Amino acid sequence: MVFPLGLQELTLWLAVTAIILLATAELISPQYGEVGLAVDRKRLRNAAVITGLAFLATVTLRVYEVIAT
Amino acid sequence: MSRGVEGGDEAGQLEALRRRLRELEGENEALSEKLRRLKRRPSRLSGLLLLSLGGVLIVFATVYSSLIPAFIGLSLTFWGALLLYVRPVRYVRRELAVSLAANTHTSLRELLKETGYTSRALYLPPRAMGEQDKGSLLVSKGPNLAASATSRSQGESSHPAGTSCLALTPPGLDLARLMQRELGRDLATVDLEYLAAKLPKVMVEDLEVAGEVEIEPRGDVVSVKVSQPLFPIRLGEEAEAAGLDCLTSAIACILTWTTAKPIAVELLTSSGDTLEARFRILGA
Repeated sequence: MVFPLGLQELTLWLAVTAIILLATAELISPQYGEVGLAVDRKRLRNAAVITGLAFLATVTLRVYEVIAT
Repeated sequence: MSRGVEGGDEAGQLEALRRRLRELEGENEALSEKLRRLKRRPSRLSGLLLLSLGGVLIVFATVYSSLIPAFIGLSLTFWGALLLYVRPVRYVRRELAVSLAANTHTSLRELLKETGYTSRALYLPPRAMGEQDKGSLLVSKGPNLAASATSRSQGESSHPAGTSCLALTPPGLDLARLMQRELGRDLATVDLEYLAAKLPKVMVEDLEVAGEVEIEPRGDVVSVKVSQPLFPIRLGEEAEAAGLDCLTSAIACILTWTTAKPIAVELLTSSGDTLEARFRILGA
């Protein structure tokens, strides 16, 4: 029983998710009430930034692995 | 005889006010019920559903070493958690917030009008240490309280003595506290330049109470321009009672905290969906 996703797959998944979240957090209307989507923008932005940072961390890890080997 | 008629008039006015108060309480009840219904939006349920489905798929992918269920499970878990995290528990519909605020504002204005306290609002700073996020609002009968206080602060001796005043809790006090919390600073420890730089961002991006805000301190006068405010501006015939609306009141409260001096709402104009206000720092 091993989780089938490796670091490479996780990096790809994090990259796609981070792009979606960052774009959504930036494009969402600042004027509440004008859009149908009701979310806490500050928290969404936080989640987007954290996901982006997680992606960068996996990339750093990959780079380190390459250099080390 | 005439005293009897006056007494009858007063009793009638009092009865009318009580009736209006009952009506407003009824409206408030109805709106609170609407708010409770809005709070039961299905986003929490969707979040939990996605989270549990994702969890099951991750377990399945781990047991059978399958790549596709692992990707789907991971995504579902992530988006489920995100839905729960960004759930708009603190948001209500704009119309609802506006109608709730409008009722309070209207009843306050009517009450002040009926009792004759029609001067412009004068905001006073907190009276003691440990009450930094408090303050009060002063309105008077007859002469313009803010104008007389301004002339007093400028050294003029012509001010009405023994003016009957009424001290109230400012309608925008809680909004001001909220802005302070969002700023993350004690506003008694900052200066006006800091407010001019940081407060617009809090109002536009964090609290979203306006589309655009400009704050310009110049000497003892602070000019504020608010575009597309969340609460519609209704000035006009009741302009004398201006300075009591939620947004103006909140800004005035913040200015009293920062300057530790009384603030007079000197000018309040609205054109289209833009509100322009000028606050004078008294005794500066």
